[in-house]
Amino acid sequence: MSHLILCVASLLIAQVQSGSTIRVYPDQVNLDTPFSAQRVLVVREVAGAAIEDITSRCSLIFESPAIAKAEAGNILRPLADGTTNLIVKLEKDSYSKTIPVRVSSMAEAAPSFLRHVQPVLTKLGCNSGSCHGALAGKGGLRLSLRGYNPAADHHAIVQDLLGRRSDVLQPQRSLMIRKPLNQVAHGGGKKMRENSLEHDILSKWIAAGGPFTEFGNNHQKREKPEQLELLPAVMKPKSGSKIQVLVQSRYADGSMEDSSHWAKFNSTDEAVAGVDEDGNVLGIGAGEGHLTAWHSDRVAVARVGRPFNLERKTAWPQFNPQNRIDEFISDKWTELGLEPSTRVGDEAFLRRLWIDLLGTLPTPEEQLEFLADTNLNKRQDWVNKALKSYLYVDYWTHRYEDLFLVRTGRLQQSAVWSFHQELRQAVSDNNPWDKVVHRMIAGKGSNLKDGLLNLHVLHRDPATLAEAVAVTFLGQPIGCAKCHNHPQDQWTQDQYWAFANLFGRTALKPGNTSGEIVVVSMKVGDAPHLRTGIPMPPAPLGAVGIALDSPLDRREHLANWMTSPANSYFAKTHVNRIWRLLMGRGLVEPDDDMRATNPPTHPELLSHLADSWIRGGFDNRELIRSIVLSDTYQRASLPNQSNPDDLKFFTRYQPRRLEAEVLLDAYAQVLAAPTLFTDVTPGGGNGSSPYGGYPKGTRAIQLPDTAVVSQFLDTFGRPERLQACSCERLNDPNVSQALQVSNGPTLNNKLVAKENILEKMASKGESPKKMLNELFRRALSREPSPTESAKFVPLLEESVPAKLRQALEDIAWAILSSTEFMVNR
Amino acid sequence: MFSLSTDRPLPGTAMRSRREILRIGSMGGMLGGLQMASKLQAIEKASQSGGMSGIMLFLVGAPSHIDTFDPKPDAPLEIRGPYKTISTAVSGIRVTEILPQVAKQADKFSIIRSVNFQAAAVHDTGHQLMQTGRAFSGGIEHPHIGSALNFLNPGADEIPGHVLIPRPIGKTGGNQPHGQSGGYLGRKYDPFVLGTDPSNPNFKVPDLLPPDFLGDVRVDRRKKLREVVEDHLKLAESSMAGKQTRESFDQAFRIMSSPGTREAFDLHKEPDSIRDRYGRTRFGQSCLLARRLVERGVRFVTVNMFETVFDEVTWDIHGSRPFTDINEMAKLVAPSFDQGYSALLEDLAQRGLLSKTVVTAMGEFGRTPKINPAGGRDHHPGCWSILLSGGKIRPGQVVGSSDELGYAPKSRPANPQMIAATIYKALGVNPHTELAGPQGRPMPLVDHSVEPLNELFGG
Repeated sequence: MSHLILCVASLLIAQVQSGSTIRVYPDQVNLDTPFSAQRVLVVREVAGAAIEDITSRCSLIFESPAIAKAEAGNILRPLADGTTNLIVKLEKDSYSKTIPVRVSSMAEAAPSFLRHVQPVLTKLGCNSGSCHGALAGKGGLRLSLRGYNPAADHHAIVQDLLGRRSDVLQPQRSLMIRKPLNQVAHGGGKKMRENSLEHDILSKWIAAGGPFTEFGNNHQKREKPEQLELLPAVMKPKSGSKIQVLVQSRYADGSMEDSSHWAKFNSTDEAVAGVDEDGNVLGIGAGEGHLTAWHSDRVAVARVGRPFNLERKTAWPQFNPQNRIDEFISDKWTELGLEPSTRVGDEAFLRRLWIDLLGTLPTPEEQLEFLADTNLNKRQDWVNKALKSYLYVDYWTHRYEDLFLVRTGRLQQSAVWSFHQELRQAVSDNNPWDKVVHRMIAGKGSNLKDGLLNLHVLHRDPATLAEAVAVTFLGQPIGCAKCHNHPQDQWTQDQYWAFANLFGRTALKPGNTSGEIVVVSMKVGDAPHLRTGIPMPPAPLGAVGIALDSPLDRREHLANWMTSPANSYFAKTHVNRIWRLLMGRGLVEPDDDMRATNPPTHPELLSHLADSWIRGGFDNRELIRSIVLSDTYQRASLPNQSNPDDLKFFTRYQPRRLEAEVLLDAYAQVLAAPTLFTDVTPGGGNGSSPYGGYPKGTRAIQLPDTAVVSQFLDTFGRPERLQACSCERLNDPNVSQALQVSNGPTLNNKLVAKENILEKMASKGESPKKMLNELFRRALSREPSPTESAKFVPLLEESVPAKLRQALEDIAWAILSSTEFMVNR
Repeated sequence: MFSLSTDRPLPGTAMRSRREILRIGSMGGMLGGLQMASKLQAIEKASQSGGMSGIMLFLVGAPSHIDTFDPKPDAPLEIRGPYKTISTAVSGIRVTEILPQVAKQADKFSIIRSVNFQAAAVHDTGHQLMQTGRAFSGGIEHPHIGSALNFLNPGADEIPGHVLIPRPIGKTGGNQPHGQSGGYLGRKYDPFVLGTDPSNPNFKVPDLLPPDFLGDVRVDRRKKLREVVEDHLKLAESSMAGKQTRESFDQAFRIMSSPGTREAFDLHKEPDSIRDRYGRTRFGQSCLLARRLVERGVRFVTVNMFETVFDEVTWDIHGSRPFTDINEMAKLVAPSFDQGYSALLEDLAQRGLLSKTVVTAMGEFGRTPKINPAGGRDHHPGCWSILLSGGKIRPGQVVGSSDELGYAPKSRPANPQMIAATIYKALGVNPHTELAGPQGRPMPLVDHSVEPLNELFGG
């Protein structure tokens, strides 16, 4: 009864403090082995977010001290079977909370390999890739990487070397104990402290005979947790202050256990918060990121962050929401105290839109027409105009070719062309994307008749194809699971091979003409599991599969699952890619990694975009339209007082360097000096029939093949299209690029080319002011500033006719090498 | 870990800290980014101190080990070939008579006579294995040793870190990458390609310096005009892309105007006696340029002795056209190697640079012990010899041996990973350093289970 009163009183006190409450984690404690250890956490919370760790200011007292004790401040350890209460008291008794504690199985249980020893080996780093987890092991002991194969590890430790590693009668003489303590020479040095929890577990486990699973009646279903919880779920630590977190494992029987000691922690944004190996989260900067905890193949995520400003606004005069996108985006601004930049002006908007949608600069004529357009909805009109342009088709075909790795090499020239044409047709017709992808995955027949089938020609091996499909369409990098379960992957090696086996019956047969391959589905065949050699029943990732002997077409099954409206991986991956191409940063970044360990910045927006895309019939043009017509897209790139540090909440448009092909085309366009593409690199083409070159006037974004030789494009980070990874395209400025622009032949040759725009200007005898205006319009979509005119016009005026061309070249170079030109902003 | 909260050294190797900081810097907003940049520079400076340089002479086409460094004088004629053996500066080590000048420098290098790999006997595969330690698969390209070194221990700021002379390896038949790029480290770590023949009388450096038609006055005018445009929006102050662009142009201008860089590439500054000593051949002058570059702060130089195996007389001595036979190799190929390589070792030693410069001379595999009917030898990755010298390598040794026919290793078989591990160790780099591979997968330079040829060190 007295407890009850205490609780009510404490509740009242807790709420008095400036809207904050005090919260104790966990709300009950169950210590059911002699080596159980439960971390207790006391935090101050505001609006559901932990803002301060006050554990160290609390005292932990057991009503029955014989049942359990507190070690190292806040770690509860069992002493004897029974129940008691833990009283958590804040200093000066200003708060108190009672937590029920139950201790059991002190006598019977021994540690099991699965539940206790594997976490020790992982915690100590024994099974890491640089120690015994290496493929060939280390020093004669080989363990599976981070314990993905416990049976083999158990065998290695208990059976190999005639049991020298574990000695039942004298556990302390076991190599398993002496090596990590460095009592005998150990290549890895001292890894374990004497009398630590790890030492205790290993000793008792060896003494118990090294059981693989747990004996005792209560623990049948407690070998691996079903789910992890990372608490507190939302944290807002002050800069420089720490909050310790708690990782709770939930087992199939409903019981909970503290796994904090064994978990591995990671912060997704170390500019916002860091985390150490004990789960102490340190607030660093403003913004929002995530914290992940991994234990025993399970992952849990918590949100961590701190507002940029404390003032919370819900509306801004410069921001007029146009659609749901703007609502989701501005909700986050409110939460984080961010203020959006102003709305971008017309000149910059058109240049931005043209580069993002068409990969092309707007011409001076288009610019003047747009500026003169008085229609209130003119941005909408011009977005529609862009989406109908053939340039849109060229550019987005090019972008999908990046995604699908279209290039000569693994594909013959004829196959590249058929792939290119089929994609171009799909973009041009705005075909529902689910249908396009369905055909690509499940289609049968000639790769020259349906170019999309070249996906199967590019990735001939079921495992390679499975990996490419998982990354490209589902945002799931599963490559690690080919050889082992991976700490940051939810997918196991078994699931990998079940997925790969969906392609186990795909066969490629030579066709009738050069480069022709016929994709067929066989009635038999399997891609066997790498480790076991036994085929897994084919199954999509995390979904219902089909029997090994099922007559159903496996690829059909996969394609149906993938493009089903119920499949959120497919839609979320696609809309996130498009968002990233338009906004410069994915809601999930990198966009090839949609795993649970890499959560989105705006989960609700991502779901909304995916749902709308699905409901609208997988319409890519509509998706693009909704994004570029949002007021979010139309932010200026210059920061205001509040958002210079915002890189991921879209309060402004982040300037980004033009893509290699777009930049090269822009040089050609501004100077009216087209680029010639004449050669294919060795390794491109099919070796025997070198390609004769592309017609003059072909633009870089129209090239279907990245094997076309261009040192300029390579320097500016054109992807090779060899790996299914958007990381292949590099848009970071670097010194080689600056050297190329300054000294290299590409831009310099265009500047001195006969019949380029400079030649025309110089020969027409236009006024310096007019020449300058034209150059600025063509390149920067604006007129020169008074300062720029004041510097440049006299140079042109003073130049004798013979030197005028050189002056124009140097001014043009200055404009074309400027940051303003080289970025979209 | 609280990477940002403490001043203690960041865990792991210099590389990991550097990469971690790069990552944090790129996310940390403008102010954070700038602070990171200065911290980054501090780490780079620290990692340079005592840093080794490397020169890799890649003998494209693959020399015959029996006709060069692993003669078999007691084997039947169709195996031992036409050349007699000669003694060298180290008693007990003999090479063939086609390398008289190399023989005199034998106290400066060690020979590994048991190199071998199991993969396909195609040039491209050998290029990958020997220059990166790994064969490429699954679309993953691994970095060239020089690129990885430059990533781990960047060289001077105003000169490229890894220079490739004269051109990248072109077509050699397999249509595969040749392992001369930055691989998964990104194009930023691709070598700077000279792109021209340094033995050309009018040799000058393209791209690194302004084109001929631009005089100093115009280069300077362009730079000043550009600043006017830059001043308009000041994007460098408000965006990451702007800041990176400014830094890259600043560095480019430093390189372009650096007397040291211009000097380093200016072979005409070398006295005729030195240029003659290296030989006025493409390979000879490439070796000389390599020395000038490492002398002036370039971290690693790769010299390709040939660009292709098809249209030139090379080490690829299949006998029948378009390839060469043994005699043509001895007459046309071996002398320029003999002269260039021996001059390089002699010159580096005289300048006191050899102890700081790891020099590797190797081909992508060996050649079949039995001479074929066309009077040539074919591809043989089963066993061959390479030369290592400088840095921490103990010279004058022979490591490993081949059987009496030169067909397979008899002792101490050494695979390409072991060779890569040995080169890394000689360069002062832990060969098990993990880089962030594709998708962040930790990728050790060489596998953790592979050890260098430790007998080449110490003593």
